[in-house]
Amino acid sequence: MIRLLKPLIGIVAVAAVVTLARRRATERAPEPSPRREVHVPRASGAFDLDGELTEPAWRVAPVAQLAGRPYSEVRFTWSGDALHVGLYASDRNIVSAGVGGDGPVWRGDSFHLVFAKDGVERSFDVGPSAHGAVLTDGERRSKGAWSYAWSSGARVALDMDEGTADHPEDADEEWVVELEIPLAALGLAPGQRVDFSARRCDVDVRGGKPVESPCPAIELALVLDP
Amino acid sequence: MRARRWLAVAALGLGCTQAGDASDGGADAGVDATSNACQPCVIDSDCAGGACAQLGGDSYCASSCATSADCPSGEQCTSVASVSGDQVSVCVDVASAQCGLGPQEPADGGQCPGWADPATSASCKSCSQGSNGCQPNGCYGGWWCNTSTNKCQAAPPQNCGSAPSDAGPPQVFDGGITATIDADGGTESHLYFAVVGDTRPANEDDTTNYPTSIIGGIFADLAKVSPPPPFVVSTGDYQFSDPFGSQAAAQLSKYLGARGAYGGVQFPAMGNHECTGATASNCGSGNTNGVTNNYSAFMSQLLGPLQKTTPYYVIHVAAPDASWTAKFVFIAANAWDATQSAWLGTALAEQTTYTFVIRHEPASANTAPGVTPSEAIMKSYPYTLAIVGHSHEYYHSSGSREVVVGNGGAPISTNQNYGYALVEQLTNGDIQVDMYDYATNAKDSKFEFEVSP
Repeated sequence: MIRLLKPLIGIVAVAAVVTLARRRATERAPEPSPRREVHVPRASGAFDLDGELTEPAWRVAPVAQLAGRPYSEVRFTWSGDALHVGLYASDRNIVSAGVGGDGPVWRGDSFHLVFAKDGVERSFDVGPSAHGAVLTDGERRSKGAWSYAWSSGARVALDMDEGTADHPEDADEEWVVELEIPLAALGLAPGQRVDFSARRCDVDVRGGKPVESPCPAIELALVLDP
Repeated sequence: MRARRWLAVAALGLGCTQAGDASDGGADAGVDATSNACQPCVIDSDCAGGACAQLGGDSYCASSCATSADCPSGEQCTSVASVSGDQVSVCVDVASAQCGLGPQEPADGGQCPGWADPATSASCKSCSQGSNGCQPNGCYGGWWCNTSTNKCQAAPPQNCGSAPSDAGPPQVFDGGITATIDADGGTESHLYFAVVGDTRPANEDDTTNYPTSIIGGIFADLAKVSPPPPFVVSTGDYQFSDPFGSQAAAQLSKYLGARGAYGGVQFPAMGNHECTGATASNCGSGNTNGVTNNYSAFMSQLLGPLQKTTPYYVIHVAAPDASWTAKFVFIAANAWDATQSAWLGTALAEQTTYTFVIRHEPASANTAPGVTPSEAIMKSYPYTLAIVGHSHEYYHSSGSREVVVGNGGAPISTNQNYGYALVEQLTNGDIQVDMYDYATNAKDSKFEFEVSP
């Protein structure tokens, strides 16, 4: 009798596991929350792409603090045919990924930005190096695999205030990135909205786990004010 | 209830099959998603076609799937959060403690099997025991340690107690304090003061985003500490302004407004941002960078009310019966000249029970013009403690007579929090320094240290 019941017990147990796992997964899945809408103002005047956010337009650009530590923030403005993104990263020890553009920038200190519109996501991973900013841009459609063959045509600049990449023996303060992305690369036009997420991963050692893992992300909806 | 379900799953013995030791697997690793399942990841691209998913209190690669039929035996196609916050369907070995659905949770509160809270000794290795801010569980910043994986997690698991709440400013000692402090110092029944430091915004001339709320919160806390410290010393960098622009005065006005909740006296040190912003800058009449707007605003708005005419000065505090005496020597390393050098030697030569040197830059920031010369002079005289800032953190090395207090509102550069230090004379005459989190008013017990006079 017990021999006959054994397979049945096994089937019931597996079914219970699947049911419980699914229920648990359902319990864990958070309700999608409405994204905070950020209106991106149109800037007048020229931008000097130098990694220093000193142009007057940056003074009135909306700022969002990123979650987690060390302190990081992102700000936005747009002009002409480009979206300007300012990234600030407080950092006691600046660590580069040791790679060039379109390499795995995320092996060092880096920001990971994703713009999503019409089922297409475009990512911008940017980090510091001793020779300036390093950018890896990618695209994926319908949550498929990322393609890093895609090129956005974005321009990027870095400023390290009192900082030196890959010199742990000295005390760094911060690194700042100025990123200029063609609106066309985002499929974006004035008046339109694009979903945006950002996170900053700070590492103490190249290729090491971030200080906060997983690096917390913020999600926004950007609206380009005409 | 959820714990019971978890235990039932675990009892079936469906362990996570660990892949090889390919923790460096990035986008260039050239491996398929299945082969690096359960590998630690930072970003989806680490997972070569799979997803970097939040599993087991950390982030691991997992293979994308549509149904469980797409998954290896023993794994379920499950909806979880990716590191980007998206909901993704991935193959998960639900029984795995390493990269399963999550930590074991208790049926009721109070206990948290499998987890060590910040104060409990555990084997996580995010930091080295004894290093700055490293908790007994081996994590930083209030994080919990998952003892099955030895990994740290920011928030405690559900039902495992709550995040520290604000218990209110601390009661430092009983009996109160009698003090009379003015612009030149005064008397205290008990040597006791606070330290705050580095309060500039992230970007130059960004007065709109001046950290007023953090600074205000810190000073409001200081007003409520029991007893309130009769005076505060601050370690510099109250602004980030174009040295010849118009924002210096506006930023210092914001600082003074934020300080308003505190009724004691503040003695400020000058930072490099009170010159040009560069650590190597040197301000003041006759010096390389001259008199900038930042320097002028500092002298008039912060030192003017104290009637100080130079950015370097000394104050004296003593017991009413003169049973102990203390001097506080404020060095301006970004306004260094021969006059200050001579003054410093004279100031430090004065005999007192305690000597506190307050300077913006630590000894390691030796590009500031006055750091190396002042350190050389300090070596000739005994001092109790050098109180510095510049780095946006708090830090003290065992055996050192230098403490960094730079977490006053400027963008924090570590995973610590903003706060304030309290310095107190002990009954044996030693000096004890503690750091308090401004949000929770919790003392960082790992930071506390004592120095002899």
